[in-house]
Parts: sequence; structure tokens; C-alpha cells
Amino acid sequence: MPTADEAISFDGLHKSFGRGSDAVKVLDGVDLTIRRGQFVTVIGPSGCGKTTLLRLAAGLIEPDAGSVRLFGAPVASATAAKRVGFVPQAPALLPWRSVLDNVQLPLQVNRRAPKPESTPDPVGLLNALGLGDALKRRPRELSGGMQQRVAIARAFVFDPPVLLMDEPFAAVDELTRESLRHALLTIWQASGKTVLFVTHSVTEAVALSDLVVVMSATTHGVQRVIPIGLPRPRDELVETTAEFLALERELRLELRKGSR
Amino acid sequence: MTEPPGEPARVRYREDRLRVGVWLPPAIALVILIGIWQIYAVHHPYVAPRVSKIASQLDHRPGLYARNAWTTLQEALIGGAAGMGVAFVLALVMFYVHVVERALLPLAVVLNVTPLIAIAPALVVAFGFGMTPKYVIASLLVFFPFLVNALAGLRAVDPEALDLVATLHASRAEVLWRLRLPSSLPYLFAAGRICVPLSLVGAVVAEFVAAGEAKGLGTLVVTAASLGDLGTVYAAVVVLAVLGVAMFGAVVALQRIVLGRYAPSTEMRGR
Repeated sequence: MPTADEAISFDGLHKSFGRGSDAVKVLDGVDLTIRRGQFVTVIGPSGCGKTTLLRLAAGLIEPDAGSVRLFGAPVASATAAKRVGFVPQAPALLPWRSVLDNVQLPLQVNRRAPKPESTPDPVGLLNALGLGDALKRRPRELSGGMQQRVAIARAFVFDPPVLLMDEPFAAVDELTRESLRHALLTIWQASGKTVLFVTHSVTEAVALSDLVVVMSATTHGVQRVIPIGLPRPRDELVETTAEFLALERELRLELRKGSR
Repeated sequence: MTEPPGEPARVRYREDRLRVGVWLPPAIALVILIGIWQIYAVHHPYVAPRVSKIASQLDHRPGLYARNAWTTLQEALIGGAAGMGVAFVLALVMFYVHVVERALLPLAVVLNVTPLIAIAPALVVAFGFGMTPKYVIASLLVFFPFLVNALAGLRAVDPEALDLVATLHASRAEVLWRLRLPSSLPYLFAAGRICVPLSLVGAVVAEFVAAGEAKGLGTLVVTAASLGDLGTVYAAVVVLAVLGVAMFGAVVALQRIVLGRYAPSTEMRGR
């Protein structure tokens, strides 16, 4: 039975791609519950099904068996009510729109969805993400990191209670990645949203999360859930603490166990 | 906190520098071609009129060429617009109803590979000697290239942007209006660059076959050629060439205005 505290629940989830003897099993009986307001990171080797898990939560694909529920309801009703923010791997900005217009896209589609009591001011959001000077610029005039900040602002602008982020910082350099990580942390800590975040980066997983879900490429399921007890609010200094380094080490060892 | 922006200024500078390099070589080639023509015409006056004779034709009877050019232009523009419009609507239907694409695309290919000049006399029989067969032939000529490009354009949407709007539960109409149509514009302009001058070819072909009303540059060419008046023939050809270049230029200019902001982002280029 779902409880009022549950934001996302995966129950007995199975997913394969292809048919018959060519079918590739990706998820094999995944059970996972994410509570409201938690920042949960999914990490694991390539092919372990982390992106598939995220796409199932976004309603972009259907499970073969099992169910995904957002706030106790099917995914389709959550997306119909615009309760899900999605940040894809590439920023997916529309090249003909300015930065501000790109951020406002979610406000312009599916207007029948119930509106939250108050939504963040798009300009204020972009200012908070360091893009105050780039409102009228086109995506091609921005660096990869700036484009990804726009994508984050676009996910926050309609104030969805759930954010699904698919390796959003994978395509940028390490320094930019660090700066994006802290920008996200700052904006998320003030929002109280539930986040499901897929990454390959151990540092990112520890720095951002309340829980890290390690997935296995051999069992195609959850290998271990590691709670990250670092105090909040966090800033970049947390990454230099002994506790942080110990958690990073623990996570690395766990990942080695789950690799094929 | 912020990263360095992209470098559009450098790209723009390179484009400016290239501009002279873009127009100068064809200008030189044109001058050389006119020179060769003139030399040939001096030695073969019954095959090719001198450049000066063509120029004096245009100079002495500008009204004749302007009137006929206007007729041909109307046929090309109306016929071409109709052909492109029908092709675009059909592309939309084919995109959303796959069975229509499977049923009609092979027929469109057959229409495309059939020499239009072979169908033209039948169209004249069907539609008479007025403007209608000219519109029909011009529209038939542009139909296929526009249809194929429009279909490709409707499919050329960033898949991650489609995922994004799917999670927002955007309707089909919203996806079409906000994503597919803007994404297809570069394809539609590419098709326009081919189809708009092609519509002129269609109009002239139609005038060759259905010269009944004695109007249009194609009709003028056929009539003058039958009288051995090569000066008029080539003067009409020059006007047609200028018309074609002007039509192509108009599409390119419109494309620059509309698509100036469309250059894909660096992220999209990398994928």
C-alpha cells in the first residue's frame, strides 16, 4: 500500500528490449521507494538499467511487468498534471528560441493541467543560475555548461514536485560539472523537490544525495542502497571532509562488486 | 560560476571574409562565358546572336519582355505555391497516418520519374489553353521534392526535446506547433530553393506545349524560334535566367531572415 510519504515507487519492475531470443534484459524485478523531498541518485555500470529506470518513471517507456507510481498514482496521471520535471542528457534547447523563451516552454504546453499556487519567476530562476545576462541569447551562443543551466531552469520553472535528471552533466568538463553540481544543490535545497538523478560520477552521487542506489549489471536490479548522512545544507566544502571521502570509497567498492 | 560563452563573433567574421570569395568567382566565370559567346557569335551569326544584338532586343522592346515575363512569373508563382502547399498538407497527413504514406508515396515517386513533358499535352487537352494547365504543370514539377523534404523535416526533431514535451503531456497539436514545424523550417527552405526556380521551368514547359494564348516567355521563345529570330529567343532566355536567379535569391533572402536564429546549438551538432 502506498503511503502519503511516498513520492516514487517501483514495484516488481521488469523491462527487456527486443523480442524472443534477441531480447536484452535490462531490469529484472526492481523494487524501490523514494520518499518525498529526497534526492536519490542511481549509479551503476553501463547497461545496468539506470536510464531505463528513469525513463519508466517519466512515462517515456512502459514496463513489461510491475508498476511505477508517482504519489500513489500512475505515471500518466502525474505527467498529465505536469507534476514531473525532466532534464535529459543533452540540454535539448530549441535553437530558434532565446534562453528565456526556452525556459518558458513548459508553461506554454499542456495549459489544461492544474496550476501550482505559485511558480518561480523565470527571470529570477535564470538569475539564480548565473544566466541573468543571457536572457535574450540563443542557445548556440552559450557554452555547454550554460546550456545545461538553462535546461535546469526549464525543469524548475513550472514547480513540479518531482525532478527526473538523466546524467545531465555528462557532456561537460570536470570544472563545469563541479559548478553545475553546486548550482543544482543550491537551487534544489531551497525547493524541497523529490529528485531521481542518474549519474556515472561517484563524487556527484555523494555530494548531492540523501540515498545512492547502486544498480548491478549482472542481476539487473538494485544491488545496494547507501544512505548519505552528510549534513544539509551542503556546499562545495563538504567534498573535502573525511566523511565524504569515506562514502566515496564505500561507493566505489560497491560499484566494483556490481560490474560485469 | 558561469562558463565562457560560445564564439559567434568569430564565425560571423569568417562569413564576412568569405562573402567576396563567394560572389567573385561566379562573376568572373560569367564574364569569361560572355566573352566566349561573343567570339563564337562573331564566327557563327546564324547559330548564336551577338551579345550586343540580345542587349538591343531587350533595350528596344522592354514592354514585350516585361509583359511576357509577368505572365510566366504568375504561372510559376501560383502553380509553384499550389504544388508546395498541397505537398506540405499531404506530408502532414502522411506523417500522422502511416497507411497514407505507404499508399501514396510510391505513386508520388511514379509521378516524379515520369517525364512531365509527356503528360503536358494531355493536361492541355484536359484543362484547355488558358492559364490552368500552366499552373498544374508548374505545381506537378515542384510537388515531389517539396513533399519529400517536408516529410524529412517533420521527422527531424531533436528526440530529447520530444522526450521533454512528452513528460509535460503536450498534445499532438502542441508538438506540431512548438517543435515539428519550427524544426522542419530548414528543410522547407532547402526544398524552396529547389522548387521555386523549378516552378519557372514548369511554367515554360507548359507554355511550349500550350502556346495558345500567345503569352509568356516560353511562348515567345517558341514563336520567335519558328521565325528564326534568334535575338528574341536569347533575349527571352536571358530574362528567364534573371527571373530564375531573382526567385532563388528571394528564397535565400527569406531563409536568412527566418533561419538566422536557427543555427543548431553546439550540443546538438555534436550528436
